[in-house]
Amino acid sequence: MSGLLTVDGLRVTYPGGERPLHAVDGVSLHIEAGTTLGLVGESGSGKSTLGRGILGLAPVTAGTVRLNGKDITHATAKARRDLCSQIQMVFQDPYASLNPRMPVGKAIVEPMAEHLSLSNRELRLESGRLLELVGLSASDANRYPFQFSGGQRQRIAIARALALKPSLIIADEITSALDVSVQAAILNLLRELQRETGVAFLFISHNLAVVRYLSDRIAVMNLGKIVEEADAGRLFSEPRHPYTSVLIGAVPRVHQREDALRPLQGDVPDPLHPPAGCRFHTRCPVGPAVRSDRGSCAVDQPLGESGPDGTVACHFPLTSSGRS
Amino acid sequence: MRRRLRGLPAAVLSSPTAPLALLLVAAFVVIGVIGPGVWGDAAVKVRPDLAYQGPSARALLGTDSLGRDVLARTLAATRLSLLLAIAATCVATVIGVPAGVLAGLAGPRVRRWTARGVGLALAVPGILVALFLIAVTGPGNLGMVLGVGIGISPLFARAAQTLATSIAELDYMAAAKVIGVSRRRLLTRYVLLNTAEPLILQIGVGANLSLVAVAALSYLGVGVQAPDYDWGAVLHSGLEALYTSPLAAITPGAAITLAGVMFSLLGEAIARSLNPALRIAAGRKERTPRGTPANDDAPTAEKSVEAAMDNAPAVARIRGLQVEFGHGRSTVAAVRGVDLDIRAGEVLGVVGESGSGKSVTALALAGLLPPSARMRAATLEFQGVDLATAGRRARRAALANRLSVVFQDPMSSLNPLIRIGRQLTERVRVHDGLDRASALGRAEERLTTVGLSAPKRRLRQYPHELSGGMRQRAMIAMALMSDPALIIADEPTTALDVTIQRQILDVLLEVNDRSGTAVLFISHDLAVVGEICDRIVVMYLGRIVEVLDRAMLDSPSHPYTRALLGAVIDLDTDPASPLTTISGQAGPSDSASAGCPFAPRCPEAMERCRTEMPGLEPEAGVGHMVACWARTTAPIAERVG
Repeated sequence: MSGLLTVDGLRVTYPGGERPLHAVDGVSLHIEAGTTLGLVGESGSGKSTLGRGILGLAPVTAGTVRLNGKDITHATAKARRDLCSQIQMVFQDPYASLNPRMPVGKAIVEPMAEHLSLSNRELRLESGRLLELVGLSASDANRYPFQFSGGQRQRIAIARALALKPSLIIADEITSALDVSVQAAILNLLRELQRETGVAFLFISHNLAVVRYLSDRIAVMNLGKIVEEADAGRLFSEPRHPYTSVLIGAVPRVHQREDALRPLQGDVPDPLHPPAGCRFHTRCPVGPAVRSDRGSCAVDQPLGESGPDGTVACHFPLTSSGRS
Repeated sequence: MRRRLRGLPAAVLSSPTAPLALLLVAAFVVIGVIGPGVWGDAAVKVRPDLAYQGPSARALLGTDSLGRDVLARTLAATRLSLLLAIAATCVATVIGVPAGVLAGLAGPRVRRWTARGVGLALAVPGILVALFLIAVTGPGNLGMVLGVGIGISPLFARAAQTLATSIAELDYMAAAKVIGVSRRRLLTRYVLLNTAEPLILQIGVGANLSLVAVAALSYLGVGVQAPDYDWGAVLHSGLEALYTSPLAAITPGAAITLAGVMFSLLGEAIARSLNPALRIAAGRKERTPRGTPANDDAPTAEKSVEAAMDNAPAVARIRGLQVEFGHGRSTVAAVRGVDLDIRAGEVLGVVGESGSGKSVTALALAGLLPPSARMRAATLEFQGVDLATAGRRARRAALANRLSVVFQDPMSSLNPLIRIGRQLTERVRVHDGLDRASALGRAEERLTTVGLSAPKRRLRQYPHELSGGMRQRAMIAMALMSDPALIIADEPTTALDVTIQRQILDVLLEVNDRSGTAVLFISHDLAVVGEICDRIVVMYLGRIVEVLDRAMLDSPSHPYTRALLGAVIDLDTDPASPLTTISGQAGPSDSASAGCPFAPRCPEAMERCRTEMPGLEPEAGVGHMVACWARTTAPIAERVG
């Protein structure tokens, strides 16, 4: 398979006192150039760690990450510097991800100053161009991050990520700290940028509605594993994995509709001690806790089965009628 | 660059102690430069016959043991004393800061070991290190400067290490790595720039310590050697007659003290000038807000409000609530005249973006405003008690048992050191005089109500042993302990996952359903509010712009509500079309104008909207009210009459 980014069997392990934590445990995914892959999951699912693992910001212990066919899993610091022009990242908290002591114009073109030999004049022109690209004004270049609102800062962070014209941007919960009206503007901006520059996104979020709006394909993560991956339209119209269905049912909506699956009471299990077998079986509304004939879920780990319309890791996937 | 230069002196000057610092620096620099030339001769003129004289015209502050002019000696010694202190500080900085920064950014193992090393080094008094070095090099300035510098350097290393570690984990450091910022720039533009402010403060303190250490060594006779002299040496030759002619010792002592004050103040002023926020605030011209939120934009016509609210009894009645933060010119009005009834047993949603005043309104009702807030209200009634006029005791009694608050972050609103059981029972034991057993029994029952498994065990657990969703359930259980008439839930699910959010919303609805507790649900998420609330209040920049029933959420009247609704993304949003956004951004300049606060961003704004404030007027639907000139088109005269 060609494509922009291919992740194969990736495992990210944090060494711990009691036992190591596999925050990402054998994840494979694939992003085509110019498209958006949405990555959803609850807190502790490992979705952010996966994004960081791809960039070498988290300790990868197994598997490979390929960018345009080239293995970058354990790229050296020097090679990573060259990768910067191809993969960039935007972080969740726009208050924390900008250097508070650097005027934003300078911050935006910092990657250019590092990687290209441009004159100060050229850099200034570029910073103006990038600021206007994300809907700010070139005259904002001399201001400091604290002089901007959260949404504006997130625009600045996006402008900085775009500076080197990367082919992929990893966006980690970039709208979750913003007001709804600001979030809408940022999402519109991402779409426009994709149309204009052909950049691909790995869009990480806990918000299914947002992911659905932006993504071509969606991968659902639970406790370090991807449980379902499919075309965005199919995933929402016909979820195969009960966990996907549960997540969809939990999304609040202005206009209420019929009930989807409800999860069993209880909290997300501790990622340090994931349940045996299927990691969702303790909360699964159609799993062994409800159906006595499905004891195998608590014992055997389901493997991702690829079909023509995606992958699902479930022993008893839901059928198109909505129930299994 | 020019901007920076313009702001910098202004920021230095903006510090309240800056004039004193500048005066001291100027004085010491001048004396240091001209001192040895002007007073050098008088300072070394030995007149044994005039030893320990009092102040006279010839020697203004008297003479020392050899009859030398104390004032002249002190002034002439300024240059050497300051240079030695500065040199020692430089040595300490050059050794301590890089070592600390590198240790702070290193891996966890290196960090641990250097932390131990620095801790050990800190335990050794700097002056001992200096004495040891002088013993090796022989008495003299070089050994002393090196010794004092090395002796003080662990102090700088500790500060630098702590600071570097604290920012190494921040997102902008990770962002810089992703951008591919080189190690050198990472160190200078990120780590040093962001730690400079506290580090320079520390260096100011360090300079002070160096000054004293150098003086002490010279006083002991192992520092500056004759014929040179610094303040320590001057002190030495004055101290033996302290009781008969104290000025000979006090004068150099005062010089050391003043120089110490100068170093500290200078450090503070420089550190201040590095903070862009302070620098820009100082460089900016003072701006007066165009209209202050005074009594003139008073509560909207009360009659129409009363008419529109139907007759269900109100748990809380708010009229003309205004809340301001800050002082003088930097006053920000958070709530600008809110009228609101919360009816018994209803679930009332308050939506708005950050800065809309939705939380502040609720906090004002709960009596939880921070001390910096100033509140005014015509009526602030809870269960018939007017909190605005009631005494402290009556207010507490009215609120204590019948109003509960659930906050966004369950971790920070539970005391981490106290078991869940005790936190839940504290209030009812104090206010209702329940004994321990029955209080615990009630707590267990409430924990069951909110769906927490194994409630008996939970009572004995500490907050950190519960997950986020469990903690929020415990918070709701705590809110339910005294059978409240009203629960204020301030973004209670914003920090939770969707599946857990769903469960918490269900719990709130069930509590409302079962015990008739009214819920004031505050959220920025119209989708959540639309799902659980009977009635919805929409706020914008401190004002209510629309009140509507859930059923009317399909067709709200106010342009802001419609825009807010358009921006909501849910599973019915069409992915093919762009989302509705609100142009511009809410700012204090909007709120200061006389007209509708939303007018600058409103697609339907008319001339009148910019000059005149629309009041909250009843609309066609039951209980539907809207503050918008485009909706309430009737002439003013008609409505007043």
